[in-house]
Amino acid sequence: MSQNSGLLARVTARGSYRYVTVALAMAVFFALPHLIAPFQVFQLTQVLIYFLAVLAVSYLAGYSGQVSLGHSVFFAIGAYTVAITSDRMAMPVVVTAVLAFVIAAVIGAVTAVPALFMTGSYRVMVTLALAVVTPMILVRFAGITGGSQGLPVPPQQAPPWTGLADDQYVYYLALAIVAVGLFLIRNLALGRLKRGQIAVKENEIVARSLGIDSARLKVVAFSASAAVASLAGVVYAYLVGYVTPSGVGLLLAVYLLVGACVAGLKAIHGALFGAAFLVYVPEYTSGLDPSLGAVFFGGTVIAVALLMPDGVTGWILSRLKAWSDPSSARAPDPHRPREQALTRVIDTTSASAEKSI
Amino acid sequence: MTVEIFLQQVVTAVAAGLVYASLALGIVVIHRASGVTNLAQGEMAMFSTFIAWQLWSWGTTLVVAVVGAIVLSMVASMAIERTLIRPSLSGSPLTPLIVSVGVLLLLNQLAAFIWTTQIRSFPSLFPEGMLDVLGVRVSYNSIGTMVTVALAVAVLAAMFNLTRIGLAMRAVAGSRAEAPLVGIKVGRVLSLGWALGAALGALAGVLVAPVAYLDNNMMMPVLVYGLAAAMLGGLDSMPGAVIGGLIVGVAENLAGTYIDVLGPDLKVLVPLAIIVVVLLVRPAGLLGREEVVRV
Repeated sequence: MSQNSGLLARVTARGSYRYVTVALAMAVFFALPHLIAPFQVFQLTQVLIYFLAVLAVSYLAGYSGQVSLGHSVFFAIGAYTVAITSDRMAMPVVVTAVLAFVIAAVIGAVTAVPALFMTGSYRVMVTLALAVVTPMILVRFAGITGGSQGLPVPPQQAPPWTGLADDQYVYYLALAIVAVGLFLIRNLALGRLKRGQIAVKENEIVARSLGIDSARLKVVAFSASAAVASLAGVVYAYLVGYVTPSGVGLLLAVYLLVGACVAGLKAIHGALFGAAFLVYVPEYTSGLDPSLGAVFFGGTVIAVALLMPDGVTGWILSRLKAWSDPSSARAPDPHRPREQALTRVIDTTSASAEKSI
Repeated sequence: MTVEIFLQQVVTAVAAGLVYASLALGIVVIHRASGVTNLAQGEMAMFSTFIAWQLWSWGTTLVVAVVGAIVLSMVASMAIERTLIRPSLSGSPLTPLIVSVGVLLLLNQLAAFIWTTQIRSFPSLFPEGMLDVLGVRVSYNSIGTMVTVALAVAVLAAMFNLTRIGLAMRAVAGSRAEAPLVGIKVGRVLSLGWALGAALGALAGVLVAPVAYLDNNMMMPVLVYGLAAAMLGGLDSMPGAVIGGLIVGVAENLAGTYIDVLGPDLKVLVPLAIIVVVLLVRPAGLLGREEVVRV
C-alpha cells in the first residue's frame, strides 16, 4: 500500500516532475504529425484548437467562478480577424494573432464590466445572449463579414525550407499558438492572481474585506480568457479555410462549456480530455449510426455530467486515490445526506434569525 | 392611418409577447421548483409540438391532439426530472445546467431523427381571418393566442394561490431547506414543477408553430425570447414572467418595424439591451427576489 501511495504522490506531485511531464508532452506533440495520416493531423489540430478554447472557458469557471456560455463570441473575433484581414492584405500570422488577441481582450473586458453587477444564472444568461447575437451581427454587416455565406481564408502554405506538408505546417502553427495561450493561462492560474481569484470565487465578501479588488480580478480573468479563446479562433480559420456565422454560433459556445465540464474545471491538462471529447466522441457516435450519432452525443454529455461531476480528470484522480488507499473510499455513509440537510436547515434558520434582528 | 398600423403592430406584438410569456412561465415554474435554469425548455416545447402534430396527422381532432401532447409532455418531463435532473442537484450548480444542455442536444436531434429536418406547416387552433375593431384589423389567431395564454395564466395563478399543492410549491420556492420540516414532500413539488413547465412549453409550441412552421430548430429563437422574458421579470417571479414576455414581445416587434438600422435581422438586440439595463439596476429582474448575501 505504501508503494501505491508513493506512486500517487509521484503522479500528483507538481514540483520536480512538472518539467519532465512538460518536456515529454512537447516531444509527443512535436513528433505526432510525422507518425499519423494527414486526416488524423487535421483532427489533431482540431483537438489543439478546442484545447485552447476549452481551457479558456474552464479557467474562467474554475479559477474565477464565472461561467460563460458566450465564448463563441471571442472565438468568432479570432476567426473573423483572420478572414477579414487576409481578404484585404497579406499579414504575417503573428500580427493577425496579436490583433485578434488585443481586440478580444478589450471586448472581453468591456463585456465583463456589466456582468459584475449580476449574479449566478443571470450572468450565464447574459453571456448566452452574446452568443445568440453574434451570428446575427455577422449576417447584418455582410459588407465586411460576407454575410451568411461567410468568408474564405487563403490556405496557409508551408515555407519550402521547413520541408513540411501544408497540413503539418498548420499543425505546428496551432501548436505554437496553443503554447503561448497555455503559458498565459498557466501563469494567470498560479501565484498571487490565483490566490486572489480563488479567494474571490470561494467567498467574494471575505475576499473583499481582506482588500482584494474582486472586480478587477474578475475583469482581468474574463479579458484574458476571451483573448485566449480568440487565439483558438485564429487557428480555426487557418485550419478550416472558411468562416461562417453558423460555425461560431450558440452551438459552439455550448460545446465549449460541455468540453470544460468534461475537462473538470480546475485541471489544465484536463482541457485536453475535453477537447478530445469534442472532436472524437461526435465522430465515434456518428460512426455507430449516422442519423442517431448526435442523439448519442447528447446522451453522452448527460452521462458524463451525471457520472463524472468533477470531469474526467477529477474522476481519474478519485479512482487513483481509491485504488492507492482503499480506506479513503469507504462506502457512502447513509447518514451523511441527512446531516448535510440538517446543517443546511440550521444555517438558514440562523440566517433568518439574523435578518429578523 | 399610421396610428392604425401602429396599433396593429402592438396587438401582434402582445400576442407574440404572451407566447414568450408562456415559455418564460415554464422556465420560472421549473426554476422555482428546482433552482435549475432549464435550457432544454425550448426543445421540450418543440418535441411536444411534434407529438401534437403526429397525433393530429393520425386523424384526431386538433384540440384532442394538443391536449394529448400536453399530457404526454407532462409525463415525459416528470420522467426527465426524476431520472436526469434530480440526481444532478446534489453536486455543483453547473451540473444541472450541463444536463439540461445535454437534454437540449438530445431532443433536438431525436426530433430530426424521428420526423426528419423537413419544415412542416402546423394548423392553427383558431379560424383564419381578421376581426375589425375600430379600424384596427386583428387576426383571430392573435385573439385566440391571447385568450389561451390568459386562461393558462389564470389557472396557474389560481392553482398557486388557492390550493394546498400550490401553497407547498410556494413554500419550496421560498425556502427549499425548511419546506421538508413542515411535512412538504419536496420530490413531488419538483415533479409537479417540471410537469407544469413542460405543459406551458407545449402550449407555447403549438401557439408558435402555425406562425413559425414546425421543424426541429423552430424553438431556438423563441427560447432566447423566453429566457429574456424570464430574466427581465426575475427568474423567481411568475407575474414577472408575464410582464417580461409582454415587454420583450412589444420591444422586439416595434424595433423590427420602426428602427431601420436594426430591421428584422437585429431586432433581438433591443430586448437584450433592455435586459442588460434592467439587470444593472435590479440584479434580480423587475420583480425577482434579491439574494441576501451573508458572510
